[in-house]
Amino acid sequence: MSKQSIIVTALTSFLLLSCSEQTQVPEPLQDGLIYCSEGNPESFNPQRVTSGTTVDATASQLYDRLIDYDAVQQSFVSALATDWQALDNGQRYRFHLRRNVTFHDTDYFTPSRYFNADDVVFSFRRWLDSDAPYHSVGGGFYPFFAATGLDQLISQVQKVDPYTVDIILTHPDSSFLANLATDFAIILSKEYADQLASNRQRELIDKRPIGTGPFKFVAFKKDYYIRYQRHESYWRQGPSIERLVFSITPNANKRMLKLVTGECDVIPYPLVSELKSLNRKEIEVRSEVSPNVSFWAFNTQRPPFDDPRVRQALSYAINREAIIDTIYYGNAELAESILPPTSWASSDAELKYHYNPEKARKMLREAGIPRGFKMDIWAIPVQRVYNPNARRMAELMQSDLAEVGVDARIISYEWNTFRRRLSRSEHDTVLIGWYADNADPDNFFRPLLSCAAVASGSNRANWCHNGFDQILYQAISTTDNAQRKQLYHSAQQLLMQQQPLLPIAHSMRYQAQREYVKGVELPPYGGISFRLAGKELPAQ
Amino acid sequence: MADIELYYQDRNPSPLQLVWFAFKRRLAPMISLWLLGALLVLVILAPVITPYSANVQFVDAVALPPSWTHDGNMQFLFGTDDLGRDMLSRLLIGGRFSFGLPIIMVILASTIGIFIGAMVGADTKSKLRVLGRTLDRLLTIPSFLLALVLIAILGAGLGNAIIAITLSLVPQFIYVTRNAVYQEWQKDYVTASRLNGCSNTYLMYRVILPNITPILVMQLTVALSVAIMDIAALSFLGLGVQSPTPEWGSMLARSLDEVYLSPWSMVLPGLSLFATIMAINVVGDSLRRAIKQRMDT
Amino acid sequence: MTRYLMTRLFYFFLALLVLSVVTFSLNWLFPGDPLTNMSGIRDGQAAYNATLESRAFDSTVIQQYVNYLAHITQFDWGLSLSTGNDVWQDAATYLVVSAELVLLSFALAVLIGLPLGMLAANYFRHNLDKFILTSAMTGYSIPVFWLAQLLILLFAVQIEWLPITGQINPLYAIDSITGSVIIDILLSDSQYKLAALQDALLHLVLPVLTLSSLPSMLLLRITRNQTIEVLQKPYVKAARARGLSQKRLLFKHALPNVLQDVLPQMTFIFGLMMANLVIVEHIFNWPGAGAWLLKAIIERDYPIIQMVLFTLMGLILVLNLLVEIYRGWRFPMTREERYGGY
Repeated sequence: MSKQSIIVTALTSFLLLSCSEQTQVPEPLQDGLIYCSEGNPESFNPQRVTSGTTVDATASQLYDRLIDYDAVQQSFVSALATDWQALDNGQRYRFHLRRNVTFHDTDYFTPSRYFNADDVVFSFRRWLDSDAPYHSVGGGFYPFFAATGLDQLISQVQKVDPYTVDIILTHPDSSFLANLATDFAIILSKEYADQLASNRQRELIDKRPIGTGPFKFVAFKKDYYIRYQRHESYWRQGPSIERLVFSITPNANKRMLKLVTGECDVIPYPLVSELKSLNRKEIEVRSEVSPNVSFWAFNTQRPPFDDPRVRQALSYAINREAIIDTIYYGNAELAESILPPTSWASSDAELKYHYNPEKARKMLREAGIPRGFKMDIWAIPVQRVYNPNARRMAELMQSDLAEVGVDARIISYEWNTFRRRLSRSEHDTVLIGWYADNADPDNFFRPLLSCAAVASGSNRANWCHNGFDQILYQAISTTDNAQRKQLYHSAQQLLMQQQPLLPIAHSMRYQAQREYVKGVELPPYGGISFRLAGKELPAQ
Repeated sequence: MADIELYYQDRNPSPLQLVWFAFKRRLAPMISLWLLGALLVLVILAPVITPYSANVQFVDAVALPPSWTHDGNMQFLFGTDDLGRDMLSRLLIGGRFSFGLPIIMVILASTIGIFIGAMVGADTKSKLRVLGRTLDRLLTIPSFLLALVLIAILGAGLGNAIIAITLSLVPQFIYVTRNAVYQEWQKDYVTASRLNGCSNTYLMYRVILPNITPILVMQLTVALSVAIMDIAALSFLGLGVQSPTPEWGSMLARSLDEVYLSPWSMVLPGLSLFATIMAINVVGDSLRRAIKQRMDT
Repeated sequence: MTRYLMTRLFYFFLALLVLSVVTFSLNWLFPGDPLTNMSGIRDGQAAYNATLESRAFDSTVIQQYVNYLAHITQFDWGLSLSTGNDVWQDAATYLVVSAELVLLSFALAVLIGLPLGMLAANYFRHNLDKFILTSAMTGYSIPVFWLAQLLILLFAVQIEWLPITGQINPLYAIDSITGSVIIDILLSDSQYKLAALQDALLHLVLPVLTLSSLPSMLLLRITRNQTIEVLQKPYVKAARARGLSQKRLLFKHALPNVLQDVLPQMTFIFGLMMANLVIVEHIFNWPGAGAWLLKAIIERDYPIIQMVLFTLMGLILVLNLLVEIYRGWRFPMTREERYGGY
């Protein structure tokens, strides 16, 4: 007992100590940054996922791509490839690689050579070639590349010399470079993969990652934290902070409170209206127009959702204006189509599904749906750019649906379980969304609603329509923007009529941070990047 | 017509009555008792007296503060929550789940528990003793953990939470009844009745039961506060009552997202829970005191 | 004493055995394949058939149970269904995290409950007694999860003294070796031990305070009631008549007897703390066994559920045994206690 009482006395005295004098901020806290992320990454390799949470934790921190997209100049800029040319009428791309780029040196791997063409070939073959030794590691499933058709588009990746790589396409594609600049097309280390293979530990490649990115991986404790350390010999300007921690905090309220107490330096998906009402000057809320859409997808493979009339009727039953007001607090725009109005391919479509419970009731009856019909609404358990609170949105919709005689049940699981079950199509309907990985309008159509996306599991409506696929194919085969715009317009008309999903809102993207945090920008496409992160602590 | 006492009558109040006389004299427990009674009436009448249905959403009255504040509106006495649902109606309907259900659960659990406890307590053969003493040790495991096990088996949901909490309350009743019966069984008045040739059933229900009723009533109050706490805790953790059903624990959990915008949505359900449990605990505590007083005199 | 010890040990092991039967049968009660629930290996995995054999699933239920016992006595609780890690290996740090939290809270509860209880008893029926008792009743009735939120809003957000979640600011990069953050800091080679320790202690305040609120108030009431009872006993009156000071009377004469009655309640209080542990760790994001159990229940990770439940309940039994042994040794008269005693 006496020992414990000593501890308690110590505890109280420390408490008093800390209150009585403002001690200096200890060094580890000065040059470290805490980002309170909203969930666990599924893996440490973005090639294998489409989830924004995983991309945030991996893509820009641990890895680099061949090329990057500069949103300000709206052009592609060099990254691991210093320059590139399109040859053979756009069927062959030649990339010249950067020299003297080092991979991470950690306690589980020490690189003996610089980055070269072998690494590029290895990284692309991982998802491209089903015979590659690493293809099946982790399930052999690469949803982004399958959904965008990149795995079909690229026929070969060739090493020309140690610093030159050729990528050969089956046909010219206007979205190729855009897809290559996304967070998913990252470069892994072949040397590390070989080392793991000889130790028979292949599955570790995505658990203890090695890349060329500005940070190297230190530790991951599921549900609690991910720790990173600065990559000292990074090939371009790196961060000024030494340590980066992702503190995993799924609860939005707790995230906000932790930002207020200073336990987080940066948080994603803040409760914007709450924070503004707090009115604290040391907290900055930033917003950015972001190409995204949240929608309510019907599983069109399950009756009665295979009937377009039912989908239309349910769309009429939802009061989307109320959702914009209560869920987004007005910080979003009612979605007329899945393509955001900021896209160049967007055309003025007229809003078709106005809130009309009368009509919804009538149409449901015509489609043979009885009163008291039971259905499930799956609501994503995490906050996303496009949806700050899906569960609450589902509650609103639940009462809208009750009005038209539909009894809806809300279903939610832990995020990774949720995604797993969703890709197995266990849902009736789901409230989810999408944000663009690149500036090409194709990114809103093929990954979401093509037949290929049904197979890869990212088509949440499981909707496969040959005519629609045909239009999308035509749209990517041409480089004439006027013609593409026309084609996407007709694609949207078809969607409006078939209604495999109900678009709900295009939201602003928000991030809140302590005002001393510098260099953590909000990229319009893709995950967060801490490459230039730094802290400017006020003088003591 | 007044009673004419022809003979000297010695009125012997029952043990429960004696305890009641002692209980009645104190103010705080009586207030608590009245409070609980009023709450019970409110909860039973809730569907009739609530101004609105608990789930109807007023789109033009979202997150309205209570009526006594500056921005409040008399239309919504306790304000509305973040989806524009009337707080008063939700609290009252929620009381059915947070206070009404536990009462039913406790009644169920006590019926089962007391019955089994009486049987085991009356059994003086030593065969069951080993089992009994082993179970005694297992009974130190709190009911909330047991409820968690049952939820793990059955899955989350209101129905399953009811089953889980009811079942997890039973062992405590068995334990208390068994001990009480066992102790009474050793007493002289029971031996006397036995010598008189009373049957075991008569002994149990007419001789012993009245004497242990106060203890059982006390256990009822303990179980009730435990049941209220457990169902609120389960719902708070998302394992009990599911939305949109209003229940104080789940209302509390979902209110946390707007503690600053609408603090009342967190304060009101918490306060209701706290007041209810407090009242029950005060009643239980005074009962304990009254019982002790009776024993001492 | 030997006989007393033997019977207590006998019942203890019997209770453990019953507990193991319960956890064993859980495998059948949980939805899904019992073997998967038990071992964490799914049908279709390469190791499934080998497990079928090693778990004696080709034999009778009795055989399976004996086999199960053999496995759990070697701490083999199978693999987690969600991560595929060995459950016991993961469990070690989670359990120590909880142990640290529980021990500190228990210590705080004793430090608050015992003295205040005695103080109240000393001022029996004075205003001080009434005040202490009313606050105890209040503290005892506040739902833990509400109290936690109120404390967070007050101490962390309004006056910004204390952090909210976790054991320590992760930037200190203290590796979790044992799980106990204090021990980990002392073991680490960090240059900033003192600062880290201070940070960790600040992180401890809110969870410890929340977790100890219920037990301390409970202990206070029990202590007060027992002390009042003891103070009315003839031997105390006799001692007082001899002119002993009130202080000496309380601590030398009454306290041992009070403790004798308070001790058996410790197990009960400890059990309550185990239940509240789940809620407190969930709210304060502590990487402890309670939060782990809750996640396992939500994710339906049956091997983890079994292991944590068995351990938590087993610990309650162990404490029960220790209390009984200590009581039997320190207060020999309780050894003869009749069946169903207290």
